[in-house]
Amino acid sequence: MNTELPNQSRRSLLQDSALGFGTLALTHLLKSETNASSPSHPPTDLRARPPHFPARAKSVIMLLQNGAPSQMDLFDPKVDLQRFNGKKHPEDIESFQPGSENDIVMGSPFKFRKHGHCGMELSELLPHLGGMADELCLVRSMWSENNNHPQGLRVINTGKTFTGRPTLGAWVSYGLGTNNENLPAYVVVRDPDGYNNGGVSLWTNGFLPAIYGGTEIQSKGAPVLNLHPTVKQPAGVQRNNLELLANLNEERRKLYPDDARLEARIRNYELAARMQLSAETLLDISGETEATRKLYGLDQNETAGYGTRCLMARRMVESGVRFVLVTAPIQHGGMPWDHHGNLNRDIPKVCRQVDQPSAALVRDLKQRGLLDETIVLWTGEFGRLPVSQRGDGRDHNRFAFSLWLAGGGFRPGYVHGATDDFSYKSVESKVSCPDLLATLLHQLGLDHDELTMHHSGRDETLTDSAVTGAQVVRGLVS
Amino acid sequence: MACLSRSSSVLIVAAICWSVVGLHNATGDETHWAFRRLARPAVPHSSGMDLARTSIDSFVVAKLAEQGLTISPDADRVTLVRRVYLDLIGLPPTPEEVDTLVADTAPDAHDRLIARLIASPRFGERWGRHWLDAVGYADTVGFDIDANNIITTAGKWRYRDYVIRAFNRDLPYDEFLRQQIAGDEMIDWRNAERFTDEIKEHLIATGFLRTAQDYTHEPESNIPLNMYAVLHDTIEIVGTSLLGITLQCSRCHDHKFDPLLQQDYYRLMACLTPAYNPENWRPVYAWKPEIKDRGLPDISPAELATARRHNEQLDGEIGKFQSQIAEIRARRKEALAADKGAGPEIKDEEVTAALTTEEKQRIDDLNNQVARQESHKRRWGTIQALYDTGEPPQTRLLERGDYLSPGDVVQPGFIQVLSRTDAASIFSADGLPDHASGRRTALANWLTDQKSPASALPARVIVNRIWQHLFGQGLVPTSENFGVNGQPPTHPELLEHLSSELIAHDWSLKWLIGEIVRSSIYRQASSTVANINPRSTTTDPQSIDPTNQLLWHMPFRRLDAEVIRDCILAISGNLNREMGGPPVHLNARPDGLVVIDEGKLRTPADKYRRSVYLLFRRSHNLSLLNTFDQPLIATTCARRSPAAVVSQSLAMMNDAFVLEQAEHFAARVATLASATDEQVETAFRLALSRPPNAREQQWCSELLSRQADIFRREDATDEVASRQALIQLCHTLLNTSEFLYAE
Repeated sequence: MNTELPNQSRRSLLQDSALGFGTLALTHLLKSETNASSPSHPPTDLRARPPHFPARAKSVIMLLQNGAPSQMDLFDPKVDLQRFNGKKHPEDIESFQPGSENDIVMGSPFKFRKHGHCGMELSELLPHLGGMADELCLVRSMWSENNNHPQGLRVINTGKTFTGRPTLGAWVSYGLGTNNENLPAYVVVRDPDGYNNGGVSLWTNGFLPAIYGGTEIQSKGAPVLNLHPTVKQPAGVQRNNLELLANLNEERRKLYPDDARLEARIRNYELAARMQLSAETLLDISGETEATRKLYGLDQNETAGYGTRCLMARRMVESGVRFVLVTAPIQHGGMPWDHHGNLNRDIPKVCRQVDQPSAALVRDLKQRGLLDETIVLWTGEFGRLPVSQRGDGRDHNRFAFSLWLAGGGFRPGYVHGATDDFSYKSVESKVSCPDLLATLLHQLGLDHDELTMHHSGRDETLTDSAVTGAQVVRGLVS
Repeated sequence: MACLSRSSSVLIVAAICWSVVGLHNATGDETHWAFRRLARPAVPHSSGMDLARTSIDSFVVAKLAEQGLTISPDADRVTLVRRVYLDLIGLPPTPEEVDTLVADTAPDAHDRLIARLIASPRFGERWGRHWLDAVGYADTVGFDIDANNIITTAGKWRYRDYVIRAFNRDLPYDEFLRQQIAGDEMIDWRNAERFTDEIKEHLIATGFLRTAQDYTHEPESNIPLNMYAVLHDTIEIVGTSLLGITLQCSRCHDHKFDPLLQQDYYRLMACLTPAYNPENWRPVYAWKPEIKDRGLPDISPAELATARRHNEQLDGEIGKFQSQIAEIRARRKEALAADKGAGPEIKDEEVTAALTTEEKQRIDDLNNQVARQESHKRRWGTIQALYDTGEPPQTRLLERGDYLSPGDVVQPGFIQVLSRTDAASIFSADGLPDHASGRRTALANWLTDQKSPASALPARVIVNRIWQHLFGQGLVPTSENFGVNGQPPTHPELLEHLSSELIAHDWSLKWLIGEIVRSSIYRQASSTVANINPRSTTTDPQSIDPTNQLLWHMPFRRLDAEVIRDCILAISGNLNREMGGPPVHLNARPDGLVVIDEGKLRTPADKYRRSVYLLFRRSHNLSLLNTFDQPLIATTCARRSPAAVVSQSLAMMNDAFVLEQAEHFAARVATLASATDEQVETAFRLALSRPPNAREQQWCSELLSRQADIFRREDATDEVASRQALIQLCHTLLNTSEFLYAE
């Protein structure tokens, strides 16, 4: 407490310097802050720093499947679900919306089959993922605290239902910084058609300094907002302007020799110019081979959008970006997987958009030798009910959902945990969202209880294990 | 520097602050400082007091003197004039104003400048925005996360205008709070014959309690979960914005650090449930006629009845005219049918085409009559107020904060540690209008009555935030948290002194702001090289107090997002000074940029309204403002965190608005000056309020000639090339740190 006051001031001072790298004047001030593990000296910049202990993975690609994908139609086949089709479920089912009151079981209209050497059972809707089954770590025993979308998204992304908390990507950037000096540490590639439910809160920095929030990179149009002037200028014009700007800024800075913010601002103009040259090249996928483009499905309308975003994600982790969030295609008001009705018709559509590019990402990373050090996480916010909602839909279910991981030391070709006979509730080796988050941090070399931020009188963590009981799930990792 | 490492100097500052807090405790009162009654510390006297102009200075100078330090000399007149403009009205002075003010060397010149700016309507726009941040105001309803789905509700913006008016007319802060918490109980609007401006103002004021994200605007989301969410958020907003305490922590359990009980939380909730009644909920929108939403007509029930009768009468008239039109057309249609014989149904267009000149004339006349009657209809607006909706419900403590686990019934009340033993006695509906439970009146009195132990806290909190807006950091740096886990005040006696003085000056915020701006502390140079102390290890302020906690120089501050945009508009000459009204709409483009929705402008000049009048959303605000840290407010924002991220540089370099305004700025310069050096000087004086020095003049002249060369090589005429070059200069000046910071 007695160092809090000056520390806070210094923190707010340095917070102002944003992309700390390249900020020479700051370097000496930051020496003591380059290690993530010291809660009394929280980092304030984006320079790469060592983890708490040796890491299995360096970066994360999160494929966020907004709307709650139906586990029993995709990942979790159940004999009883089919057998009891049309009959009353033996339990009283907790639903969210009206329409499921009669608790009538609805079998999956989709067939499952075994894939790979591991024999992982997956739905016919996911043929491409099936082809990568031996790389996937499938968790069938997830559960969430809440069955409403905004809260569910916050739980999987921030550990708890409350607003204002930092997202996983923000904590990872805060803990580890970045290896790419030409892009932010935490990058978001969303569907250019709009925002998913949750909007920008899906990549918020919460109470962490603003530099740890996700930055949107566009997959259509200019990748970075305002990267180029709206009116094209002759060569040399901008360089002359920036030269004058540097002179004027340096001249005025003489009055404030100790103010790091002005130095940062000067450096930011240099970085902006650097980004104008490099960010586009880095994010330009036109140079990718025909084979790669085909792999991600860029040659087909249905997969081109999501495929482009997955491919951009690969390029970014390849170049050192720490955390990439790819959001799901825009449908159903920003919730493509929210199939309260017309499940039979609509879920195959989303699968056709998402299956091939997601599998391609894993395959491509594997081929390039990047999968070992990259975690791919494919998850929604909760699951769906085994009973029918108005005959052809499924309502929200917080007691069970499935997700998969690949790479980064997660056990390949492995199925973790199980649900009950109807996939209504997770029963075996249950994994909570905070457990999952703790495990992800662990693979990145970060102790979820040690990565803290002092906020409103508490040392806050991503998992708040004292309240949530979060633990690293050892069984998930090899 | 040699003797003192950075960390040890940091410890010294910490020790300074703690020693003062320690002094407080010497009075024997063990209560946390923020929960005590206001102290009236003596104004200190010590050496260096010749520099003091106000009592504020005495406190700051005395503290500096303890460390062998003193304040910096006054900033030069031009810098100071610009600073005062930016702080008080959020706009730069014109070059002519600067000239006049610099020439005014009378001893009271600074005071007259303050008085003039504080009286400007622009003052309320600037300071109202600070308040709107703190109370978490947004023009939209619901969670507002879908970029392309902007949901507003009629008249919500009137609260924004109320706040601006309140600052402009210097509504005493205690009255300001009373109106916002219980305005509807202070006037008998239900039985009023006519809604006077006073009645409307009091109802609009309660928009303060309507700033929480209210997701009960759709039938599917009009559920207890979301109703309680509104109550919880509202309590958090009251706690943070008025009391500087983290009340939300006591929602689920007694506060872990501060003396706030879970009981306290639900006692306060009981003050709100007569209006936010989960058993008799009024949603934001009515989705079927039998549902009543929270909007109120801005005319009295009596006036409304009369107006409706009047309009029904007119509708009757209109109906007659319309049936006459229909008759004429029907006759013509019959005639057509007779001519054509059997066949397909005759279309409306055919009838129109077949009308005779006389028939057309008659129909036009009738349509004019309809329009005339329509124009005589009475119209009224909507006020988004908060008011009791029937008998108060029972309020229960919620176990673990969960509405599905109701516990014991609680009575309305306040925070125990800030209440007198007879606090319950202020709950009385005596003297209140009908249908008012009086619970929010009691809450308002508890907060503002000088006899109430709670009243010290709102005074401290507002003094602190005003200080923060002027110095970049509050006397309590954690302006949202005065609790045990917040930071202690850097100048505790000064905070007590100013809070007491505010009350003594009838809670006049204009007095408080003026008093601070008058002080020598505020007038100091911000440049750290200006502090005349010799740089020895014992008196070098930079080594003793590197983060300027003791205020040995004026902090150098990044401008707020709105001020940056407004200044650009002022400099380009385009600023539209129209006040108030519905917000200017925004458009979230598919490429991710959020821009002004030009398709929805009432007039083209609306595009150039001040930023406070642009639509304020929970997310997807104007990209330029967002880039400069305009907050995305979930509940409240007591302080913004100004960053210097690369996207700001990119925005200032490439944003279409900035480029467009740079062109206007250049055109303005070109009309004022023609010779190169005069143009440079004019551009400098417009953008930065000062002329360039010789080096700057030379660099800028060189830029003009180099850029003109480039454009000439691109086959531009001399005239076009010079114009383009001047645009480059003007654009570059808007990118300077000097433009983006208040020095």
